[in-house]
Amino acid sequence: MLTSSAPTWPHHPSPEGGELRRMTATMGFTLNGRFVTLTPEPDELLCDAIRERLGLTGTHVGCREGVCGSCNVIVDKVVVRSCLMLAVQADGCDVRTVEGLSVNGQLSAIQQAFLEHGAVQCGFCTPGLLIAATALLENGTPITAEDIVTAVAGNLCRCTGYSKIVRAISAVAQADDDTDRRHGPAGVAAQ
Amino acid sequence: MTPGQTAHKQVGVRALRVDGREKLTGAARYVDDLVVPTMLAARLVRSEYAHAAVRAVDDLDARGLPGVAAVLSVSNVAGWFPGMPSYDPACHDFERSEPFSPIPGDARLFGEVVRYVGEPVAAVAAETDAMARRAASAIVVDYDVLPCVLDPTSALAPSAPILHQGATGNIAGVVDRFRGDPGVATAGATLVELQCQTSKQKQSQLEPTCCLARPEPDGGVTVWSPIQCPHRARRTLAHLFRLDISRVRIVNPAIGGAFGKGDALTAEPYAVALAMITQRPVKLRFDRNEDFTGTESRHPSAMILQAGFARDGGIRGLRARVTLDAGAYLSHSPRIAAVLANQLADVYRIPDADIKVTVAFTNTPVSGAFRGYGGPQAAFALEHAIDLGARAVGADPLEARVTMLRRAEENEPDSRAALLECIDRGRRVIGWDELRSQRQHAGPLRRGVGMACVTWKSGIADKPGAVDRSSAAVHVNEDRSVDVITSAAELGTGITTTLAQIVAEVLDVPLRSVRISRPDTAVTPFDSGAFASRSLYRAGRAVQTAAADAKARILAYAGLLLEVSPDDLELSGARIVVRGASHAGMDLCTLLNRGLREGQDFRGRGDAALTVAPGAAAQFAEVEVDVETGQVHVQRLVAAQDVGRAINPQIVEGQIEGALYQGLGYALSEELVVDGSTGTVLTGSFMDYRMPTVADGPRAETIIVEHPDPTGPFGAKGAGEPSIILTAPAIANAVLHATGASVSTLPMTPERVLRALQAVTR
Repeated sequence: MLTSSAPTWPHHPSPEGGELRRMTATMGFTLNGRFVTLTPEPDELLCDAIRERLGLTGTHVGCREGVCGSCNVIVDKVVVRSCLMLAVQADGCDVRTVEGLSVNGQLSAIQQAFLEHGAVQCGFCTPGLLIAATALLENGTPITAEDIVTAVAGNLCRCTGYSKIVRAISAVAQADDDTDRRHGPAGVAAQ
Repeated sequence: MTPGQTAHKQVGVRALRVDGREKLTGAARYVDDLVVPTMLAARLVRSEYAHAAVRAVDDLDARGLPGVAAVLSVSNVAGWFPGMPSYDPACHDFERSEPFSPIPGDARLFGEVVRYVGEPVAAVAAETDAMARRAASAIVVDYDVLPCVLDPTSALAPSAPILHQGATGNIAGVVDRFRGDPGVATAGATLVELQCQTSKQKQSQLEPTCCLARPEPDGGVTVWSPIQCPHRARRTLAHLFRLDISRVRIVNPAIGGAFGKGDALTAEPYAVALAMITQRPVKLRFDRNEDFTGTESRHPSAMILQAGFARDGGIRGLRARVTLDAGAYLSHSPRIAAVLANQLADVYRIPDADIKVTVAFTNTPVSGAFRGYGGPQAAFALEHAIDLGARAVGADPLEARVTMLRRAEENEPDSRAALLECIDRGRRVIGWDELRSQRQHAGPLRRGVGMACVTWKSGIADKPGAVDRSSAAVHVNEDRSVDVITSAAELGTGITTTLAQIVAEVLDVPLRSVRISRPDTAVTPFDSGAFASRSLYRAGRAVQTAAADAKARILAYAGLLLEVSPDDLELSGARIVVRGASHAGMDLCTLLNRGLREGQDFRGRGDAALTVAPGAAAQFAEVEVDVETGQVHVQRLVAAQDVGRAINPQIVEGQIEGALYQGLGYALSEELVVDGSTGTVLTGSFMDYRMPTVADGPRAETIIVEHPDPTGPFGAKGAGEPSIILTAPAIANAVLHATGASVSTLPMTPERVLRALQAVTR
């Protein structure tokens, strides 16, 4: 089990001893199926706790203000910007990050589809997109092309132009993306 | 496959990305994911003023705070680094007459004058990021505020305050291009004048700039950075810190996008300085706002074009007066100005051309390299002018271009064939002739179609003073896995996968057994960097040559053992076979192991010759303009691009699709707005700087055109740049077709479109 008693990061020799005594408390949540306990700073963001305290660096921080979606994680089945949530708010929650998507080294269906459709380039935004897509696919309701666009409209990607991402999600959702004029049939156009 | 080509197992295959798995599982390590023992966190204090003398930096309170290891600023930098020189952040100091001789507009780590809002004035290293932030906010800077210039027009006015002593006024550079008889440039033709402006676009790679520097026991330093030009950067850092080049080691971790941003030093000099002072590793990460203001962006431009059109719509003569905004420091500006001038004059080889590009220093964030490097500004003006001219003489704008290109072809045979094919295929896919002949109106909605085209070179070996080199080594291990030692930077482009395919093709080994190195200047060979459409073209050629060398060494040894001529041998999977004698031959691993024992050298080496390759692209946009709101809805984008040879068509599509979206943002929404009175960047966040999302997108269609170049690996050229150049002019021309309105300022916001529409009805 990962705990904060064996620090993995040199950034948190707390308390820091300012004018104010900072109140901290030990809390815990389930991270990718394993219960972890930690003693975060009161103002510590969930993304920093995951990355720096718990050592899972697949959750990327692109803007730290909730716009780009790279730091998406799933908290109790809901997609959350981990840069907009305090670590202490995750107490008792079920938290999933990109590291929890593959099982026993086997890529999940959406990871495999991203790979096969060429939906990954620099890879920085990819974890956040995979999280958004996973939450959509696990929703259990039939998925339309519109749903796919809505699910990832909050994720910025600067490399791909999104087409291959939408196609990868559509392939898993078995949604008919031909109906979406914004993302028609891919690739090399006909002669 | 066209007749005459041999069958390939890897080239032309949509192989899955070799770095895909690590990026999909969160295992890939970007700079900010790296942790080294005793590492400190750094923060920069940045100027609040556009132009000011730094009278004093009071760091006493900051140094007394808990956890603070060092504070560096103009007040103490000379004590730590006596005689520290100025430097070229673009790391193109090879091109100076004397290496490293200072020139006006060079950057300094900390200067006595700050020249833009956001320029670093102090740097702090502390035990934690929070401590570093607290210390940074405790530093008090005493400024003597100076008058500033925030746009090129004011900067070039006679009495303007001067940014850099030694420069002529605020002129950062002037490029003149002449061809033919510029004096009669516009005689006897229909004259069109176009004034246009383009915006300060930001690369906005998703990974914020970050750098980790670690001092080494030998007095050197190791730098982990997402920089695109590791070997150029280590040379400039070595010069700055008075180290041997060999003592500066630069390593690329995984890189979260670059698009030119990483073709210049930004965080690196500060991280290195703090690491050397503290003798501890230092990580400096920029927040998103710092990335917007503290790293280089695309040059804003203002242009006046006068073009004389013949009756067929071809340009007979062109006069262009271009002003580029360099921002506060020189960096890439001279080269970008030259590319811009060449693109105006050379795409159509305009018979009479008189082009002058003036680059001005202003008190704004520095402009520099961005995918396209002067191409987008030139193409927006020129391609829109062509449509205005064709309209004026009653010609079809596509036919006008074809006519010009055919004429250019007479002087430079075969140079435009790829472009003509791009135009022809794009025309058919979008249905140009039908769309052009009928303009559809539905209420306030007007539909139209437009296009634009460009020629674009891979490589810069033809530029005076340029260093454009790549080398590679290919080692075949005794289990026939392969180590490829190259400094080609993987920015996300897919170069790693493409290089692996090249090696797997040459050596007939499985793709998965080829390992491509990351750039690490301590061990990987010199490479000028990932820019100018050169990675695949140049580094790919070096890798191909090295793989062929390794293969020749293996076959030569096999020839000795088998007592046949190596010319009769071939690598075929796990075996070496004798041509025409299928029973003969030997097991490859057996040979490799025996060679190892007997001192045989199977290490191949390769360099790429200093050539350049011409490429081309044409792009088509279909738009719907709402004449009541000024909103432009892009319905379709069709991009045809000559890539020489698509070694991996899926990766090529990805390059083109990504370029289209960056071009779409440039066309419609992206602008780093600098406040006209204070010089503060007003759109320095992802909330305010509007990049296209998935919901903003048109249907993007790519057409891969293949005109192989004999100097590229398997005929390949660079694929990353041409398509970003054309999206804005194709859309502007479609808006012109739809409405008759000429929108000549980027981005084409609804407000600007409405103003252009009012100019038509008036």
